[in-house]
Amino acid sequence: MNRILALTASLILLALGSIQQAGAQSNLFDGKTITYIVATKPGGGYDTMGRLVARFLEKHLPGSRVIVKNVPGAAHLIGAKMINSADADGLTIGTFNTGLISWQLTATETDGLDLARMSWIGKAASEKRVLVVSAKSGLNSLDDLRKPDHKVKMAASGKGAASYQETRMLTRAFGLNLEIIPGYEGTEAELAMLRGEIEAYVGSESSLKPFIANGNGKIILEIGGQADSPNPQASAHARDDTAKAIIDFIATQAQLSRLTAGPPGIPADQLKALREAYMAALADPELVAEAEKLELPIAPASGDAVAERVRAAFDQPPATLALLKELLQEE
Amino acid sequence: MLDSSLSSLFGILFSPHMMMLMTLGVLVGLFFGIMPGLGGKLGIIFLIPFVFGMDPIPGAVFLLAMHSVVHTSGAIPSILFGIPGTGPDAATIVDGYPMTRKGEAGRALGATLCASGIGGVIGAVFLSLLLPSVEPIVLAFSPAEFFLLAVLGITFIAALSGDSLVKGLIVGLFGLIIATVGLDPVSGQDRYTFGQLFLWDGIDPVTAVIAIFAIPEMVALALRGNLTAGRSETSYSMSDVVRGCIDVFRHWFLTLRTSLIGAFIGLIPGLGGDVASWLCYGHAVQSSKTPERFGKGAVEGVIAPETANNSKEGGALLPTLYFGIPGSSGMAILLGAFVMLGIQPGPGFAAGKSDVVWALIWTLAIANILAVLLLLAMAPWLSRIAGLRTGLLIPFVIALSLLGSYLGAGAWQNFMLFLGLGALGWLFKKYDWPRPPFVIGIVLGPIAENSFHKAMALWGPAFLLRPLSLVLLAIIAATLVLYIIRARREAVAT
Amino acid sequence: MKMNGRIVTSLVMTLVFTLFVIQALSFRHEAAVMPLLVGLPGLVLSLVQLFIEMRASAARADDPPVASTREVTIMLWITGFTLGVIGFGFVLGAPLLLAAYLYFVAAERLPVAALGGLLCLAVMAGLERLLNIPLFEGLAFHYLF
Repeated sequence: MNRILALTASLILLALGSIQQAGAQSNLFDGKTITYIVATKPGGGYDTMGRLVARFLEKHLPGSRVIVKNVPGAAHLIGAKMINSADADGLTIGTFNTGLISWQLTATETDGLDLARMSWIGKAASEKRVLVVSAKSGLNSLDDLRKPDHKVKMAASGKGAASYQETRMLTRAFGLNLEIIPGYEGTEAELAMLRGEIEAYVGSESSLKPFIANGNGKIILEIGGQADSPNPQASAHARDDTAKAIIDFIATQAQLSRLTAGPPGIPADQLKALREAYMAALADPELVAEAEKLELPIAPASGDAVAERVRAAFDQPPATLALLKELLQEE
Repeated sequence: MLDSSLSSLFGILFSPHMMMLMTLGVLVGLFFGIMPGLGGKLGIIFLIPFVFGMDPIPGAVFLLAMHSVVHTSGAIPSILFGIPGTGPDAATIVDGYPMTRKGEAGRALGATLCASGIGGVIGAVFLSLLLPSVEPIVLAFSPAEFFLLAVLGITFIAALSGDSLVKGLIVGLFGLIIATVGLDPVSGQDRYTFGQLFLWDGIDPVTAVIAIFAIPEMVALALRGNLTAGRSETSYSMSDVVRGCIDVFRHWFLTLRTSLIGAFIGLIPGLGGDVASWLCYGHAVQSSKTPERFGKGAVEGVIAPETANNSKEGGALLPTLYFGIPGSSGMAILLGAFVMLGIQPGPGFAAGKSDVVWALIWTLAIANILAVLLLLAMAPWLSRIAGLRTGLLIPFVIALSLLGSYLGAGAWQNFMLFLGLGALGWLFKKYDWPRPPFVIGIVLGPIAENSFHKAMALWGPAFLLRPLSLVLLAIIAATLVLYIIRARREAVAT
Repeated sequence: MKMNGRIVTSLVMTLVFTLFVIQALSFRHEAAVMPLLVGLPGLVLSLVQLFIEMRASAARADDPPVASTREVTIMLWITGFTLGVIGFGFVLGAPLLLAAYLYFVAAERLPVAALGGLLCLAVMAGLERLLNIPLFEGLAFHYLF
């Protein structure tokens, strides 16, 4: 009888304890203010997504306050460095462009920023990259971009930008005959294709969707999409190992989009709480509804999965790394 | 077409709900405009969570009402304190602030308000007339024409430089070379960054403009002595404000011209609001019979940029609605908000959803009128701020300048630049070097350089022979010839 | 030759353009086009202006100093104010320095100075708390806490 009583009592205590522990888990950020750094100016996809994530993180970390701080500049580098050098107490996290993986591969001076060591909290989307040809160009397939007698005019925002690097990588992977005209920022590339001075462009599928829906161009290649995608997949065109490695690399950056990370060394329980709140926030029906209205595609993954893929991007055979570096480096 | 237009107008005017939303939007817009560094873009970002779930038309009316009036109030700090509320309002400082120092703050405010209101309404008319046929116009402007438009703006430097052409050109070239600081978008080379990451994106134009205008003005204000007692000369009465309003109608032809130029520049994606207000300011100087009055408190120098600031909104909506491709970052954010509300602009949009289009056009017109009326009602209180003792004013202006810089660019390192350029601006002011060419240079520099490289890569030097290029070249040549003729005549006269 | 403000201004511009042009010489071709296209004429014109000012200065007998004491004082205050905001941020540094300026330089009465500081605090705190706009918190805060 006593034994049963003792057992019951200890079970109750255990249950209470675990409840209390669960409470402590979610209350790690009770009364705390988390600064969520967005590495761009206000406005644009990163900012909109960042503000959305921040608002719902606050909801799923009871008692916390999450404020968004824009730290723009140097192609997301300033914001990323600020996150990286913040105190590792989980109170400073933020979002920046995956393109920094390319940057880190070629940078001679990284100033202590090592993406493989950062505390990854999660990613919100996969931004498929697409090669779009304008309706005016008369181009139809990848083969049209290989013709030796015509250099296809491609827009890119600038040397070192994603569109520029990816255009170079595709040129190498598929033996294309392209001429890159840099200096087209934001939606200027779309206007240039409407005017006809530019024939094709590599950009993110979601941002080019209205352009294609309006009948101004078509997708002839997609990178980072699923097998059931209606668009032709680059991976299917990749014949040799070089092409495969290149497409793989672009796909990694494409699939890890709208990241959230903190500085290296956030204590395990804080990081766990942040990751759980992040996944809960992105599964929140309200967030999903808002993201859908804002036309921000959602494809979340948790921090541990992100960390693994980031490390894999740096952990490649030396020959592949050398090739990537060569392609990423400005001539 | 008239039917749907009028029913849409009555739908807004006779719906208390819509009018309330519009008034609220206008009030929020006026607040975001008057606070240095905030501006319409941030306004929409803050409002997005509130409009989520609204019906498309009320939501769009609310946001557009907010966005279209920020420059009406943005000119107020330009005129009263010499710091711009928003970037494009910087042009208003050049003559608006000297007017205040001359004791004509009320007149300058009246002119600003009426000019803004009229500009906004003309922008709305422009939008409604051109929406069906905008495509060829927008697509006519390629990098070649962008480059030449920038050169045209820089040519105005000559007209702006006042008494010394050499000094004017030096300051203009200084603005242009400051604009090359940062990561060169074409080659990826970092220029003049000295390892400072915050310089990678270039020197923040808002910080530079505030520094070069606000610091010297504050030093000059402090020098007027008599810091402890007495009111400054900036207090005014309502009759001054009315006088300013009348000025706008007195210069009706200039008002009309700059409204149309502003709307037209707004229509060309990628040129931006700063270009509109400065080009119109330049046009006012260049077309004036007495250009020497400018920079010393000429009311036309207030009218021109302020009409352009508001009329360009109507122009900028054209490509945004027609192509679904926004021409500026502000429009990009507005477009994003429209999409969220369920409005999907595109080529079929103008024809298919005429009720939405008409609601937007009317919003533009009504909001602009509403903003003027609201500010006129507030003018007596503004007079109190303007009438503050100068000693009280100086530290507030410096604090607001720093705030404007930080809210705009988000880097404290800019404060050091603020001091450096401020000291230079003080030298400029004290020794009669004109400061407006600096702003034209820093605003047009990146567009000129970027477009030049693109045009050369696409067409080679032959880009100058495109039909529209030739027209622009002719305008540039005419501007130069006119300037030389006038300079000769003045030389003979003295 | 005597120095005056006009000569100093021209000298500063000459120096600025010289530095920009020298730096530009080491840039890659594409990146150097614009800085040289703008910098070289700027340099030449600055030298012309410097020459004009020096001739004019030789003709004049007495020149005022580059900056008066009062100008130096007010500039030092603006510098101090800016450094204060860099050090202690908008919410703490700006209201304190503003009140200090009003009391010491503008010679306002203490209640007026305090009121000014409070008003500034209200604006800053309002932006930060009500509109959720994070303001710069100052380097001292960053390094000390």
